[in-house]
Amino acid sequence: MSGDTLTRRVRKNSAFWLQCLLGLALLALVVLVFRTTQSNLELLGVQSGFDFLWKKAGFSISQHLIPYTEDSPIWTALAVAILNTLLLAVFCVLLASILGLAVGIGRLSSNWLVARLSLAYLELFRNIPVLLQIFFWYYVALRALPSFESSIFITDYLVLNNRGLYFPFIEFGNGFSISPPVMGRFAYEGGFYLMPEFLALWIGLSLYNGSYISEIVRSGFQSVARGQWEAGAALGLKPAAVLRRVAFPQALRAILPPLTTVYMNMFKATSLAAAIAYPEIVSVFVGTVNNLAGRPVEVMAVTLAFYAGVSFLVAWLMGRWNKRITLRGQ
Amino acid sequence: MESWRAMAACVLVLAPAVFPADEAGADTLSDVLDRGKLRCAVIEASPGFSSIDANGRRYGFDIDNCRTVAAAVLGDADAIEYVPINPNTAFTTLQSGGADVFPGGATWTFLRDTSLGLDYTGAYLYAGQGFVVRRASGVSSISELEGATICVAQGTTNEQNLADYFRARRMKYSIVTFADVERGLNAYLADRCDAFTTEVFSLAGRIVALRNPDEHRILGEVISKEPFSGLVRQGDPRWRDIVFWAFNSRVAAEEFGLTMSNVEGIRASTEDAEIRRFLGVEGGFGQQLGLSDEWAYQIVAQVGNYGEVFARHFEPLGLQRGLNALWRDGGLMIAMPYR
Amino acid sequence: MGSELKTPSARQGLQCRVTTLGWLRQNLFSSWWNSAVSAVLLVLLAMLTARLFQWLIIDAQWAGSEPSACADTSSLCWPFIRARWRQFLYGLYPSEQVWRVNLGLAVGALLGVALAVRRMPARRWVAAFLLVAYPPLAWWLFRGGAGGLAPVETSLWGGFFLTLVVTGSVFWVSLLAGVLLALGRQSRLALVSQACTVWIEFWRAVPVLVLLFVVIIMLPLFLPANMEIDRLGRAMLAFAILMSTYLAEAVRGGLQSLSVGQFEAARALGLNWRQSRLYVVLPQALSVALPQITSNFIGLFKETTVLLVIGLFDLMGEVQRAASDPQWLGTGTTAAGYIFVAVFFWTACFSLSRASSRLERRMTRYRAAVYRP
Repeated sequence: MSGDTLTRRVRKNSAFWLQCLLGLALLALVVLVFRTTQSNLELLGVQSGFDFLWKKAGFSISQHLIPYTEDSPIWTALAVAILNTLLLAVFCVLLASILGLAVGIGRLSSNWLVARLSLAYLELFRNIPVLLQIFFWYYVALRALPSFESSIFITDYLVLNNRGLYFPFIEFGNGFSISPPVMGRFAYEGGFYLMPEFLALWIGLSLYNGSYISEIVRSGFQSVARGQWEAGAALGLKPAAVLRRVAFPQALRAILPPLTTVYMNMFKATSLAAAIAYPEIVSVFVGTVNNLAGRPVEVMAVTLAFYAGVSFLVAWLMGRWNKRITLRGQ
Repeated sequence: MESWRAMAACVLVLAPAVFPADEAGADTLSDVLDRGKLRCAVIEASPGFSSIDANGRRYGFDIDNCRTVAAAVLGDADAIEYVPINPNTAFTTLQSGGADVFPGGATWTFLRDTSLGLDYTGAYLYAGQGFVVRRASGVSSISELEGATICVAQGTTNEQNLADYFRARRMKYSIVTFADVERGLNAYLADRCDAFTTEVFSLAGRIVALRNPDEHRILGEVISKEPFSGLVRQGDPRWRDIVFWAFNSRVAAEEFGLTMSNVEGIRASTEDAEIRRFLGVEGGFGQQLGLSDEWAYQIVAQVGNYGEVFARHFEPLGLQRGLNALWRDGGLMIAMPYR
Repeated sequence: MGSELKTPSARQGLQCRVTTLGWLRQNLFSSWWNSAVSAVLLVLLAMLTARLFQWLIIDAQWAGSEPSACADTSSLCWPFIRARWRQFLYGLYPSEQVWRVNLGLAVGALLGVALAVRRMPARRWVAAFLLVAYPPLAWWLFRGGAGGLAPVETSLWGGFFLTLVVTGSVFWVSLLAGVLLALGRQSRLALVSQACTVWIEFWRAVPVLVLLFVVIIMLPLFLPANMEIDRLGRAMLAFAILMSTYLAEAVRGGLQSLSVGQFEAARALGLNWRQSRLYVVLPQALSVALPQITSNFIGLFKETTVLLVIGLFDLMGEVQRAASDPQWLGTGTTAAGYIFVAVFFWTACFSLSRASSRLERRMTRYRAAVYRP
């Protein structure tokens, strides 16, 4: 008996020392990398520090949700880029969720054609790299749109051409007025518009991730016990009502955790914008600012911090939502 | 217990590494000599500057710049490992030691020279930033581009020149920035933009190479000076000297009247003291740089003089010498003397 | 959308023999609403098929192999694929050395096929060879520079070949690293498990493209001046960092599914930590995690296309590069190139995921048979 405690103590002790050593080794590695980087940067004469964020940017960004000119400081350019990233991410989450929900429910349809087409959508879009899909929309599909002289008028107020999708002006000046986009010398002017780069990313990312969401939705609904559907029907609810009132809330429990993962993947995939010309954070910061400011370490650190920050925030929020809808006692 | 020992060994191995005694400066020349190959950063697919033929061989003005340095340093113009880069990774690739020299397409500016940890090695090509528009648009000068959408490559001086020029004239425009010149131009060709801007040499090269060059028009004006220079890492003065004098040698060769075909004969027969020093017949100039004495001879014999290189790559594109003619012909090209 | 939903087990209902007409009535026209949906969809489908057929085949240009064959830049240009075929397969790999690529890939494929044959004699040895000896040998064959083979710079690698090399090498490294990370995260040593957790959670939040930029640009700054990794190596390192954290999570799922009894039984048999992990825990955990692992493999395969952004030319990068040739430039060329790549990836990913689910079903049956009380 005492021998047993002895071994346990020795083992515990050795575990303690092992961890000490490991900690030391890790620390040593971090110090080593830090020192090497420092000496490399010194050797190269590269300046360091975050003061560049307050310098004048001197470049223009085509889409900015907040006021921005070439005279604005670089941190404003960063804010513009972050907002552009988030705008794209929110649009993608919305469209992909709608698509995923529709197709996921379509998979369960009793109509053979609907079920098969839903499956075809899933298999088609899931098995093609998302970058290729984005390129297809950007370089092939959107390029086929007419030039601005012969734009497509979806309505008088919504104009589509190879320069983007133009929305009407909404003015709140004296009273409230909506006026259609106006044709200028080179393009439609004024009002808000979505650039083709945005459209390509939006469509590409949504279709790709929508396929994953549809699969999650399908298996979520299938995880709802058969008795629940029958019970709903027995209560005299219409199938649509059973779906909405009975099955959906239960399916949500199975859907939410994997859905979080897909949302996160989609958010991360917005960085593919750097491959076409949408000014989100990777494109503006790693592309333009890095070359202007010559501070690779700082620029990368800001970019990584942004992605890590948003990811942890989303994980935390979805975790809380998940906790709220989880059955007590489960 | 085994893991114990392993850990201890790990720490022992790591400990000296944490406090490295290595404070030696960079020595690019000996790295290159050891490697037997020059690592030269090139931008891919830039007609006139850097292209790849059907057999996978690279050719172009930038490529000949790489070959110039390789000929001087290694005596073999083809001992090169090409490092393909984008404009937006060019500087960091060089800073971080991914390449020994970046000889192409980098405009010499104050901020880049002072803040990037890089050294310029002397201007070897003078260009300016120009615009191309579709003939059908009827635009004939830059001032008519008010309100236009303009495509440009990211992280280049072009992006900033454009902003400065339009802002100074209070002209509205919208900009679409692409990762490189090629994608930007392709977007313009697909009518994503009304105009595309980059420096005129590469612009002309790219437009000429199109299937329907007549549909486009390069505007007569330029909005900037773009002196191109080679780039090397800062902190290695000898290597900078080598690259500078290698480029200088091509201009000198043109001044001396040396060409690829006559250089061997002239080396054997010339009485001119400067040419003799230049070609390494006397004076031991190569050794001053840490190179073989026939360094400049190798450049002329394998790559040619400046005029030959220019003619080889830019004349087929219809470009004139202009500012890049020798000083005695009214241009800016002047070789520093060999004495 | 159909008005009635199949309940989860409806398809397990009785199977009856039905006539075509009956089948149609039951599955497409069971109610007026269903009929309307089916009719609209059928019409749309027919229109779409006709348009696609027109675009892909009738209007497309087929003959020739020169840029002049595609004078009309807006219709699909198939000769482009024919003209650039070699570049799509091998990139700029020197043509007189291409046999090395073919040989290496053929051996790999043969080994893979041999492994898939269930009654293969010495299957274990084939697997061991494929996992241990083949990767370094193949790498040597492709890269050369020793043993009488001319060196071929990795900057010349490209196309289909590069896609396979990157996917294979990264997966090979990541699987090992992922297993270690997963075991580390489950370790009783608090420091080890904390360190692994932080590492995994941090990298999971980072997009692959950003990490690629970080590694391409910054790695040389982190390393001592005399240590160098070429561009391809750096890109693969970036992929491996991410892939190993994904695989670690997959393997952790497998580990968590094991009952405590397994660990206790291993200890009761007198196995030490390494033996118990190697002979008892990992084989089970990996087999449980197999579907996750294969789906990560497929993800990696698709993700290699991102390489083109940092100037490496995988299959898609080569297509992009070839389509930018001013002589070929045009929407029809680009579209043909993309369709070619899409068909390739689709076929590969679809068959992989099918094979994976078949394997999964077989293993479930196997487990059910073995563990039946």
